[in-house]
Amino acid sequence: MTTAIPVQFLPDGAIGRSLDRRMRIELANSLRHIAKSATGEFDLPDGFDAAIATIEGERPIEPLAFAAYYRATQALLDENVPDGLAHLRFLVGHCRPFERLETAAFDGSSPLGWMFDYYAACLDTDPTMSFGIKPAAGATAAAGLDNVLAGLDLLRRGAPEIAAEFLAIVHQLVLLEPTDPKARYNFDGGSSYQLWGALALNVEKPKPVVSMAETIAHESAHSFLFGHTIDEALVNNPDDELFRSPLRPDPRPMDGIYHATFVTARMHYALDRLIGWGGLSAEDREVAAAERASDAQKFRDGLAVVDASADLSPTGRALLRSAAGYMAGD
Amino acid sequence: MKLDASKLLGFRLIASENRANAAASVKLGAKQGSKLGSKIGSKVGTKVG
Repeated sequence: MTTAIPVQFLPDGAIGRSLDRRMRIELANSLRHIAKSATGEFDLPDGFDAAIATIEGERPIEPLAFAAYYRATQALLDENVPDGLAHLRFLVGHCRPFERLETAAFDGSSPLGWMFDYYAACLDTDPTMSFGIKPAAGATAAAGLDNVLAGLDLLRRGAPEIAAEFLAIVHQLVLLEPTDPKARYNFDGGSSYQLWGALALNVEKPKPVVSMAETIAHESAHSFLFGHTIDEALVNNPDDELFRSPLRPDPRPMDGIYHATFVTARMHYALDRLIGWGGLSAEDREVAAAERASDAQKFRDGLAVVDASADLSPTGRALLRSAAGYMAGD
Repeated sequence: MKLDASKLLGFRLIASENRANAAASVKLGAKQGSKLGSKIGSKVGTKVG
C-alpha cells in the first residue's frame, strides 16, 4: 500500500511533492522486487543499490530512469534477461537527481535521443492521424523555452499553487515541433505515464503568454492524474470502447475522455485564477474569459460522457467528484 | 525469473484486472508479459492533445 495523499482537484505544491516522492518510492520498491527475484538468476549491475538510494532521495530524478524501468521489466517479464539487464544498466547509468527544471537537449549522441524516440513512439501512434514530431532546435527551441517560462512565470504570479504543483511533478521539458507544419492535426503537448517527470510541449509557434499558462495547466494536469494512478487505474472501461472527446476530434477510450474532462476543469481553474488575480491586460483578460467559458462547456460535455458510460475506480471517482465540485462552485 | 506484477509500479494496474493472477505471484510468461507492458501504454500511457 502507498502513503495516503489527499485526493483533491485543487492544485497544491505540497501534494505535488508527495505525488513525486510516492512515485519514486514505488519505483524503488519495484526495483527491490526485481532484485529479490533476480537472486540466483543473474547479477544486478554495479551501482544498483546506489541508484535506488538516489531514487528515494530528496530530489526528483531523471525521467529516463522510469522509462528504463518499464523497458527492463517488460523484457524480464518476457524472459529476455539480456535486454532486461541492458535497460537496468541504462537506468543505473542515467539515474541522477535534478536540482531544477531542465530542458531535454537532443544532440544526436545523447541518451536523450532514446527518450525522443520513446516520445515519438508514444505520441504518434495512429497512422490515420499522424502528429509527426521532431525535437525543436535552435531559435525555435530558444524562443519556445522563453515562451514556456513566461507562461510559468505568469502562473507563479497569478496562480502560484499551479506553478508550485507543476514544479513539483514536472522536472524536464521536452520541446518539440511538428515535422509537417501543415499537418491536418496539431498538438499542444503530451506526457507519458512511463516518463514520470517529463513533459513534451509543441513550441513551434510562440503563444500568447496567457494561452501558454493554460497549456501548462492542461499538460501538467495529465501528470497530476498519473501521479494518482498507483494502485488502481482511474477508469476501468475496456480500451477498445471509444467515445466522443470534448478536446479531440477523434473518438477516444474512456480513460482519455476522463483525462480530458479533468484537465478542462484545471484549465478553467487556471484562467479563473488569472482573471481574478487582476494582473492581466484588458486584452488578455478578454481572451482568458472566452477560453474559460469554452472550458466550462467542454467540461460539461466530457462529464456527460463520463457519467453516462464510465466505470470509475474509487480514486477516479473521487478526483472527478472533486473537479465537478469546483466547477459547480462548491 | 518470477515477478509478481502486483509489486511492480505500472504493471500492477493491468495485473489488477486479473486479481487472481496478481495475488498468486504467478510466473508471467512472454505472452502475458507483453500484454501487460503494451496495455500500460494503451490504458494509462500517453496523453496528447
